[in-house]
Amino acid sequence: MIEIRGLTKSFHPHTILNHIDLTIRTGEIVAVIGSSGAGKSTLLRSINLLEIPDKGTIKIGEVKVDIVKRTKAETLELRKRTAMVFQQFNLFRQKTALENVMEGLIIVKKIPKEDARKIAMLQLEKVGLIHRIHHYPKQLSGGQQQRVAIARALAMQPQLLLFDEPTSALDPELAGEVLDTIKKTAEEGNTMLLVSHEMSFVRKIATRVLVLDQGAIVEDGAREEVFSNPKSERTKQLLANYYRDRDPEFAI
Amino acid sequence: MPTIFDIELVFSLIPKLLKYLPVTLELTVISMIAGLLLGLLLAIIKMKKIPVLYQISVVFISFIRGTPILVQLYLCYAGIPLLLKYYNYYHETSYNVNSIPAVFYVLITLSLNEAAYNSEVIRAALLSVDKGQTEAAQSLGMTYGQVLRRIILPEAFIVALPTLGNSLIGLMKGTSLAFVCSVVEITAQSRILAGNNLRFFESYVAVALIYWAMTILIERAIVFLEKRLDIDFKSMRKRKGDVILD
Ligand SMILES: Nc1ncnc2c1ncn2[C@@H]1O[C@H](COP(=O)(O)OP(=O)(O)O)[C@@H](O)[C@H]1O
Ligand SMILES: [Mg+2]
Repeated sequence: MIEIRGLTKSFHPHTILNHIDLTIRTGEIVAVIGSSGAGKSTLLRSINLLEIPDKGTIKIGEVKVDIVKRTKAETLELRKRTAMVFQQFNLFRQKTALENVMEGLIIVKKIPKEDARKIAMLQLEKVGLIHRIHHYPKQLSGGQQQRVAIARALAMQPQLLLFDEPTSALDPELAGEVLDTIKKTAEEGNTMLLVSHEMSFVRKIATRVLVLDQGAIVEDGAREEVFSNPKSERTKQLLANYYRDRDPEFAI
Repeated sequence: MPTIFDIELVFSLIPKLLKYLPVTLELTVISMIAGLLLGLLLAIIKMKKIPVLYQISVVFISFIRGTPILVQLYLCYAGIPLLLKYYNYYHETSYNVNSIPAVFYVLITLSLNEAAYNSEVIRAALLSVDKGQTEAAQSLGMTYGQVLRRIILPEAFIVALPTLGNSLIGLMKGTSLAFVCSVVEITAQSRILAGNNLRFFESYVAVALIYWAMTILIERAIVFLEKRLDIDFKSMRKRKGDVILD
């Protein structure tokens, strides 16, 4: 269980996240939608402290961190319990696919090299890249790179997976393979917080949908409820495009 | 007619000079390593703008760049014994100035000089590593030290390699200053040999050839290293060692 309370972040002078309260139960697939600049990335980055919030508490499992009073050890502990998949993949350029996945296992989890290798191979196999383990990021397509990044995140066995627009940097043909991988990850019972503009994908895999607008959660409900019966105006606007593309008759 | 230029002498002098090549190499290697480590430290201090240390490092780098290395060597040679006297006076110890080997002053000067010049190169290389990789490493739960060692340095090294190679060549040639402190390396030895047989030109030609050859060797080594570090090359080697066919 993940409990976030009073999470506030401002980039002077703008308040980007305004007292966010959010509880995520184990196994939930929570999609975050919202227009560009709504603070979605900032929310994800604040949860694993790549961005340091101004205040709030974050509790993941039995570790509860008060941002203001946090210690270095607590920061590392929160990061170990979460794993992030970035829009730009952010693979380590001087490491092969295999080494990318092994890195955290060896350095952070202190797993012996041979065991780390086995775990990494397993994860790379799961994302369909067993034949690319000795390739470096620049030798892989965008979709393959993002699948390595997903393998790297999964290998750490985090209690919360954070996806920040994992397919936005990809051509539509390549996005598909990454979406399939994420779907598989979701079906395996991982707890996920996912920012995505792919509404039909969100509708397929999310169990719950949040709408973020101007630093606040303006809608929070079960997937179907939000899609078929949105309460906030903002949600209706966001979904308008989705319904128009899906079914031309809806648009007038 | 007397021999004006004795080319055979040049070649017979080279082996005699080569006996002192280890001294030159030792000065080069130790100063380079110390200069890299200290240069990295200075680069991090500058990047993180650590108070007090930042100001000190700015003044230090400016001073080193603004004064001739020969003068820096004089300062070390004359200044360190002075410091020792102060230390002895205030701590009631009696360390002997004469127990410090002359080579020590040379190493200190060359290392400090190298550090100042390398720090800018290293800083630029560290800054060239994109933030995404650093963030990915941090999000895995790595400490700053681990991120630096495992992710940033390996990539920054490749960026800085050509420039650091040039700096190594400059340093190797710079060790010829050691004779000021009566450390006998190849240049000092060439003067000694010249003084013995009064064939100055041949002696200097011989030593020049050694420096030249060394420079070419270092250049070659850097090019070789760059090839080895090339991603397509590394990937090919790793694939060969694996049973999985691609
Ligand atoms: N490092 C930063 N410095 C200043 N402003 C920032 C920074 N990062 C994000 N912002 C601002 O915060 C707001 C929210 O950004 P972000 O969380 O990236 O939005 P989203 O991911 O929803 O598009 C934007 O207005 C953006 O300009
Ligand atoms: Mg974003």
